[in-house]
Amino acid sequence: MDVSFPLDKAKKQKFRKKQNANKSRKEIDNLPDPILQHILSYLSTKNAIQTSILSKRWKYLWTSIPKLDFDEGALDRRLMFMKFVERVLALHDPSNIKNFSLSCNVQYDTSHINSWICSVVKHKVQVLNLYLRNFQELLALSPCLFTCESLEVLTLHMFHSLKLPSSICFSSLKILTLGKVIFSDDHSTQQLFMGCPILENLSIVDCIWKNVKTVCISSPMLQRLFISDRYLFTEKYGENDDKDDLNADADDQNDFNGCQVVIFGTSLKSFSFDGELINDYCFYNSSSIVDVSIQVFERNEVDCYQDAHRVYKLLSGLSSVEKLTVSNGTLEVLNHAEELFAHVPVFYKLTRLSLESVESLFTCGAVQTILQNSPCLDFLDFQMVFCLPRYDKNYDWVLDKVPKCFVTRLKTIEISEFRGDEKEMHAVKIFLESASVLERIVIVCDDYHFKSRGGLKKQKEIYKQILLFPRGSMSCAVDFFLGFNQIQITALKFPNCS
Amino acid sequence: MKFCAVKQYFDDENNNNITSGASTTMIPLPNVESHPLAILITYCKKHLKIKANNADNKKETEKEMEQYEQELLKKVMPQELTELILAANYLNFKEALDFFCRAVASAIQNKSIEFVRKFFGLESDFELGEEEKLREEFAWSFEGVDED
Repeated sequence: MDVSFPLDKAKKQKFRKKQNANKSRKEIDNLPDPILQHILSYLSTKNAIQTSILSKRWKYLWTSIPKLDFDEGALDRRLMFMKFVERVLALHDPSNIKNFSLSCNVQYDTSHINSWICSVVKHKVQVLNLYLRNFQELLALSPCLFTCESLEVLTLHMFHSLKLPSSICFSSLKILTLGKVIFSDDHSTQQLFMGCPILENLSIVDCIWKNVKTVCISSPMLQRLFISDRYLFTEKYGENDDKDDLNADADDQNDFNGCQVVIFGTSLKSFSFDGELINDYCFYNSSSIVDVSIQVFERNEVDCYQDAHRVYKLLSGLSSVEKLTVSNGTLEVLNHAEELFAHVPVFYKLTRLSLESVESLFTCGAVQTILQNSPCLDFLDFQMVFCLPRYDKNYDWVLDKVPKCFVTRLKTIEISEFRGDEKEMHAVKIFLESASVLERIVIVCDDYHFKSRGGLKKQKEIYKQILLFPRGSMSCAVDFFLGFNQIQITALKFPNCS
Repeated sequence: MKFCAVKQYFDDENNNNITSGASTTMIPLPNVESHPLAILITYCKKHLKIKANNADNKKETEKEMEQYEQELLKKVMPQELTELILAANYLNFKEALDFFCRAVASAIQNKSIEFVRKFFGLESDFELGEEEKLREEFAWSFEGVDED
């Protein structure tokens, strides 16, 4: 027995050695089973199972690990992989498998994969991630998955038809992510969304909607919705690695004019869209919305008018937004239907607007309309994206109609990736002139740009110039940063010119 | 005198991992030696201090804690880890237990079986062929293991 005596360490060790001559050394192996299992739970699945050959005692210690992660990689050791997953699941003890991740080629093994899914469902899985590819036969996921009561997080990523059973009830599901899935029909897709009563986060990434005409998403606790429709985009500019014989024509969307997706966002706080507006998204009852981001890519001549209408529809349904981010692409699309400017809603709660280029304020009617319709805007920021000069070189813009918020509310303007070129300087001049209650203008330089174009000297020049611009607001400060995560220029020894 | 110093720590700090927490009584800990106990107390104090310093910023707390943990690991021998784990377990000090278990796990991650046996002080007690059978059963996991 070890007792804490006030002896110094060396004496203590000698004492102990004498006392415990027969006791084995304090090796980690002498820890009790639950502690060793706790250690195993921090290892990767592969490493944890390798411990089975350490000694007899370790042979089955791994069988209680709560997380299993299988990533097949290439197809070269297929049989070994299948056997491995089979054996691990068969030998796992009755305790819960909380997390199960499977990334593998399917080929003709759909029944094996389904039996694995059933097995983890029986083990009360909470987080399930499935990344499936290379199908050689149709997969109908096991019905037991869709009535799993323990499941809280589901990620299903497969470029394959989503064949669903008739009964879907994910009573505990909070987070659902669908990637590249091909929805089969209206009814089953609708059943899927209706079967998630406590869903909070929904992500629909690059899925194929062409077999669906209308669907309604109305989970009462849905807070975050993320939709990405870049499937056609990636087809144009990249390779779709998941294409196989069964889905060769999935991207044939010639007669498809989009699915009507109706969203009742009773609890919705955040919505983000990225891609081409192939579908018609419509929001109702979404007055709790806080954060919206719309990054639309222009499609083609034929569709852009329709897409413009779709963007307006989106904005109209989300008019209670507090923070709105729109990309240059979105603005370009909006500009195709100028007659709708008069119908842009009033954004009563909008306090922050995030844009991608300063010139959009002067050249884009849609931005001007949004600003006119945002009486409470106090923060305007520009995450500058480099664009090739599209407009004529004449940068003598004026703000013919200064938005009311500039005069009454706008307190902060922030410009990131600032290059100090002619058009940007002109924009800053106009901002300082017209924003009569401005408290701060924050300018963060694109330091990479300046490295080869004059460096610090050039930045100082630009700063001096800006300080000389006439200001509509007496108390406005100019915070000029040399780069992201860098110091403010006033931190340098610099003669103060106000 | 080490034991008295440890008692001092009990008096001074609002320790939430010691179940009794009385200020003047001696708490006998027959299963814990003073050396690991001292390390655990330092760990606990540091943890509370970092938490207090970064009350609002959870990320900062995590970062600082990680840095401290890295430093601590450099000074601890593998054999001491056993004592630390047992002590943390006995004292019901979850954060320290998790930390030291993670430390053992990272020490053996992706290492060869021979290395792990040495680290744990184990010898294979399998019958002839039993290990081979296991290696074959889980063949997929035995490909591509790093050597020390």
